[in-house]
Amino acid sequence: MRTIFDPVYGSVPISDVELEIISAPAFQRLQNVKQLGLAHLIFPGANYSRFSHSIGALRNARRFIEAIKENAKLDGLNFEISPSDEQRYRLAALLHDIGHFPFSHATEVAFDEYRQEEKIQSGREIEIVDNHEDFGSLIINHDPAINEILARHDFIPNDISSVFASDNYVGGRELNLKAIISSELDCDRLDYLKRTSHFSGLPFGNVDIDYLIRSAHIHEGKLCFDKKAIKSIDHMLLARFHDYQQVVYHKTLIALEWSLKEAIKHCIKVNDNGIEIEKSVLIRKIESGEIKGFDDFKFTEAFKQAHSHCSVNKETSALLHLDAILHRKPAKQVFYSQEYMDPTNKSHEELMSRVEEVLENYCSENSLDRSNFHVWGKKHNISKVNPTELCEARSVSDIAVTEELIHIYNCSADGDKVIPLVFAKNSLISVLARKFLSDIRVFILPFKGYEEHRRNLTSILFSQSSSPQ
Amino acid sequence: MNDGLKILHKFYKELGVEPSVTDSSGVLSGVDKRLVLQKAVFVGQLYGVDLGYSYNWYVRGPYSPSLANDYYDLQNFDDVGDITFADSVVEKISKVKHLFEKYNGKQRRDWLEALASIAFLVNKSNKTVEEALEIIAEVKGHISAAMRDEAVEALRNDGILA
Repeated sequence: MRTIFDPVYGSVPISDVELEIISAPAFQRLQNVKQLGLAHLIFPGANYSRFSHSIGALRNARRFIEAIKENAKLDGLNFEISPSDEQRYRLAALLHDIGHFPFSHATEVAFDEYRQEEKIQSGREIEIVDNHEDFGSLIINHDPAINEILARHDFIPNDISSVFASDNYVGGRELNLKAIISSELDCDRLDYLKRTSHFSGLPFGNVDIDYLIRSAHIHEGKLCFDKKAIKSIDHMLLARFHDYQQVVYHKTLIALEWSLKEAIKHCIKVNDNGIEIEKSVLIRKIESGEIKGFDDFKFTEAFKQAHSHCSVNKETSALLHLDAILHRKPAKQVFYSQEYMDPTNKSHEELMSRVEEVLENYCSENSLDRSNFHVWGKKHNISKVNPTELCEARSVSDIAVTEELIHIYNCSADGDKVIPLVFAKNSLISVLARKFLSDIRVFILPFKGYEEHRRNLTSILFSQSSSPQ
Repeated sequence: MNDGLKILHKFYKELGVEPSVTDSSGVLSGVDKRLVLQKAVFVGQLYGVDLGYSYNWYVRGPYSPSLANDYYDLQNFDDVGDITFADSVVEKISKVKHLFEKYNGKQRRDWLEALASIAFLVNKSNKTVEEALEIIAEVKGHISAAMRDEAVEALRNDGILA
């Protein structure tokens, strides 16, 4: 057994097969894929990679399995997991992010929008990989080095990728620890929270994650947490919600991620800039080992080339987006509105429509390029279950996503001993999960003379909404 | 409104499925109507209409949480706006529509659940058709053996199952 020293946890034990996988070029690629996209341009320390996050997820998965075994003993349950299955789940944790694209989520959004335009609206017959789970499965199943390592240690690649693939059916009688890899409280989310806090310097991740992990049980085939941990779980989910508000949804990061997405779309369309998206091309690159270079540097190089091809005399939105990410000249926020709402409240959609209309009219009246403006809207949920669905549910069986929800184990309950947290009456999250946070922002790219339009639009938009300026 | 919601709305309209989470005829409960909305997109994607939703398995078959967020959002827009689909996409949807029209009401709900569940187990979870039928028989007692077999035949005829 080797160890890797991690700045968040200290020494992390690593088995032989894990060490070999970590050394594989396709895994080393993650050293150059930042977890938080361009967040380091706002929080300078927040530049950790998918690589270190994957080591953290592996460490947490190991602790989860140890806790489940230990608690099963204390509960007097006959819970058996073979060393091979333990290793399979740890490998799934280690490899859960192997398929993340360069710059992570902005690329997924760009690929998704490209798919909508090319396949649905233009009818182009092209097979696209637009999410990291599918790309991860392709890498695990097609990368020669990873395949060779897994085969030598008697693992079937698909048995690893199917653990974190969302589209895998596991029967009721089979061992199913998928929730420790992918659920509301899994090895991934716990590491993200601690690591982001550590590197960004923000305080939200100050959560005792080992206490949460130690309270993990398997009952009725579900991963669940002891009722004593409810307050800590509430705290963790609130911390995560606030971390997202402060980091991921920071106004400058939203602006930069908008520019990043547009720059990626620009470089996909200009094929010789080298952002590949077709499934067959990506599989060829995996099989030839070229995938190791599919990282943030490759995309940045594509952006630099695209920038050099833009005419400096013509200030297009493409040039402004490339400038934003290459030279940190982000779009400026013009307007914002944030409000907690009940799910039946239509104010979010009404305000979105009104903002769009104001912007269209303003651009038309002032002969401005509409593509220099961006309306961003999101309804934030604190739980994975949709608030409307939750409010309408008369019982747990009316909720569809139960496998991914946090479950609470109450050994002394009269009725159901395992219930989703969102149905636990002593949980703050069960209250907040029935609401959403409406979040609407408007941005303007810093084209020549933008300042006056920014001032005008700020005034118009705030006067037409109830939001404080 | 983003193009993703416009595309989803138009897909339902082209298919002849009201994109509402409640059934105006009162035949289906809210849970059943949402099941139809879920399975419609899954079956559409099987037939090549790539709407980009990822599905996982839950007790009533394939389910997409992000699709749920989107159809709930659609309820709150008075005017969705239009978007143009390529002819080839409209053609694919007409094939799905043909499949839809086989049953109505609660039978349509079960029919869609059978189609989507069998295709999910075979195409996504690498089960054989026989294994998929065994699982459906075990966990979905409300779907008759005749409907299960009919779903396999329809999916085979359209080249969805090998």
